Amino acid sequence: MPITLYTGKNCARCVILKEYLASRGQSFAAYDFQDDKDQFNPFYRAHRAALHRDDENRLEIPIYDDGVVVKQGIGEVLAYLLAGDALASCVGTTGVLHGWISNLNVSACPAGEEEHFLTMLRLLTKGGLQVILDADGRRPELLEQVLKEGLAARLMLNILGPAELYPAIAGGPLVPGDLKKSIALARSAKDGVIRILVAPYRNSAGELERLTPVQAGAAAEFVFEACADRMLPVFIEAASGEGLPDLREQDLLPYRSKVRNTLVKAEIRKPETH
Amino acid sequence: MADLTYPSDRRYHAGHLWAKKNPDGTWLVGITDFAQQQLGEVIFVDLPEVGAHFDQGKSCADIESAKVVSEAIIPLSGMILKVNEALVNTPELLNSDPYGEGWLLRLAADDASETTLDAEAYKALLQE
Repeated sequence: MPITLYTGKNCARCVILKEYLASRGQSFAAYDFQDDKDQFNPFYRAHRAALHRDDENRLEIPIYDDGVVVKQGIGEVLAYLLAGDALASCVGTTGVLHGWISNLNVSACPAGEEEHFLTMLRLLTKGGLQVILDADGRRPELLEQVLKEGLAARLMLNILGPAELYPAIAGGPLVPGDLKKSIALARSAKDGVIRILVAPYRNSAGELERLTPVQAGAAAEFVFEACADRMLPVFIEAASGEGLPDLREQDLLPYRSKVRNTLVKAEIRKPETH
Repeated sequence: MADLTYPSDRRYHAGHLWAKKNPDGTWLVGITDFAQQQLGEVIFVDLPEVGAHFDQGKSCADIESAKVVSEAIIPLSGMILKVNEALVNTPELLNSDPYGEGWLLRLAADDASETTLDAEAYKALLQE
């Protein structure tokens, strides 16, 4: 199947994709999504439902179309080219902030896909992007390898809830030993942040809900059991979710109170734009 | 902005749409020259359902260019009678002829006395 790319000017992530395809000996046609309107506009109209934009309504590029699948964003495209759908859970909307790439989750990497995940990060960093890596405590051995190779410019260790909620929220269990190792790695990372992330998730009944302040407090106890350090610098941050109202800073105050019962230095953190 | 035009035969809304009264009493609605310039080349228009009702100042359609998605803010309250089907395959009409072939929809206004701007007031708004 012929490969078509839709790219932009001065787009480092587009260059990464072109060079990677060339290194595999794969031919492709590349069109500028703003200049080559005869190619891009009909494609956009046919596929717009499958394409996403960022918070400022900017279209994420590059876009990949091989006639069978359409993938958007350098993270999603590289993950697909390296491993089919196996790395799909590790890669989200990677954003368009110049020079940075986010929503790459090391903890969601399936067993057997470690080398593909590392290759993806190597391609991104070699191409000049600074990786903001997410982790949730699982897969500390892979996280250690990522940090050892200098493949993450910033590490966000997201504590998603108490242990009993991890399967529902993260998609898999988190054992205290792995959390302990991950906390140690985050503390030793050059730019590591540990945060209790108040994120939406689907409960066992399939309903969308958020961590409650009491559950956040239980998450803090889980962290303390792993690291035995009440002075651990930890943040509390709200993540937005479709179908749920955004939490304001004042909404997080009850969370902070519960978390501080265990981790006394907990502070509320505003979400960043990247 | 000097090259942009704002015909005096229609009314304008601060949301950058215009409304022009037809002889049969219905209103033709479209985007202004300023709006089309700000959008850049339009590549898709998500038009409303015929029969839908919108209050003045509410979004009645999404207009998408490569660089941005913008809501079309309806200049008068009313019910949609017709949408410009030509925009489905040639959305660039919004850029090439925003006051003519690039009209968005035809509207049965609830109350034509709702507050709008004339061309001079709209131009003054753009200067602010």
